Amino acid sequence: MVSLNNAFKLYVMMALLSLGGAGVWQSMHFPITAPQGFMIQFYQRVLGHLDGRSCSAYPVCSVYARQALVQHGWLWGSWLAMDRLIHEADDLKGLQKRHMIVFEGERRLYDPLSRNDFWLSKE
Amino acid sequence: MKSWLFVFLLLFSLQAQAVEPSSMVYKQSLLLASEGKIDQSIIALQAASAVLPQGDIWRERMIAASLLLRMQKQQLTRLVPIKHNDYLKLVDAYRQAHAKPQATQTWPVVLLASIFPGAGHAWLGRWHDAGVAALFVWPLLLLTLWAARRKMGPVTVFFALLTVWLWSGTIFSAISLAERGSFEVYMQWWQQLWQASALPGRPW
Repeated sequence: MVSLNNAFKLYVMMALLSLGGAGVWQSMHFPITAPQGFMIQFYQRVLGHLDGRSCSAYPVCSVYARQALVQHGWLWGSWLAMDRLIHEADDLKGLQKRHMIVFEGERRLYDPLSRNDFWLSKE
Repeated sequence: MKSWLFVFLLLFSLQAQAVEPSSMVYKQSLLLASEGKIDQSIIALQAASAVLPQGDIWRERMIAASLLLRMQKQQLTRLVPIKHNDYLKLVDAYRQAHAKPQATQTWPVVLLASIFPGAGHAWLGRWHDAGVAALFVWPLLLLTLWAARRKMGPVTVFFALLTVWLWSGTIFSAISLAERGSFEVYMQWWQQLWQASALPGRPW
């Protein structure tokens, strides 16, 4: 049998957690319950920090993926994100020198979404 | 002396006022085009050129710019020749003297990427990309075949769906790179064409 005091503590704890959850939810571009939202948030807040390296392209891959998912939906968006991960390999090997920019003191590949998704809306 | 200077300044300012609106419209239109609003830019140039008198230099510039932008929009390599427009004559001379851009064929890329993951990228000469694409698909493909051999039912279906999604993604990527390659080659050629036209400003 849960005492009244413990029930009250549990109630307050749940209220605070709900408030915190709502705050985090507000700051997210996708609700965390959406698969794509969960994956991107998990990468940006956990895996990205553990990895430590910064993306060599601008915008960074997680931001690019989010833009692709917002604009093109789950399927096309995920393929565009996959395409970014694939084509980065050769783009960074010097094939695309004229697309290099300096951002925050680092040379990065300028590779916005519009450079890769223009053909999807081609007439 | 002062009165002469005043008259000169007045005439100069009147001339500047007459030229200013046309050049402003032209500049604004190129700015729109540089932001990717090609259609709006073409409409603005055509509308402005329609109200300017015959023989006006800005009218000629606007006509030439709108035609070149339309050409870029439709990725054409030919231009409708218009007489009495020096800018378009220069464009035509450049076009005839230089090789036209060759678009990459998409179908061999699709075919190869569908038969063997990574082969489409290799066909485009992007060997590192081909390696990454192969790494995306092959592990899960082998896992699916292994699960199927062991008759793992739902697990096989799960792996198969993941493999199909990844494999389709690599085919999509190969098509995207072929399209992007063709577009960038065309744009380089078109930008040189614009510069050869001697039109002021750049719409990029």
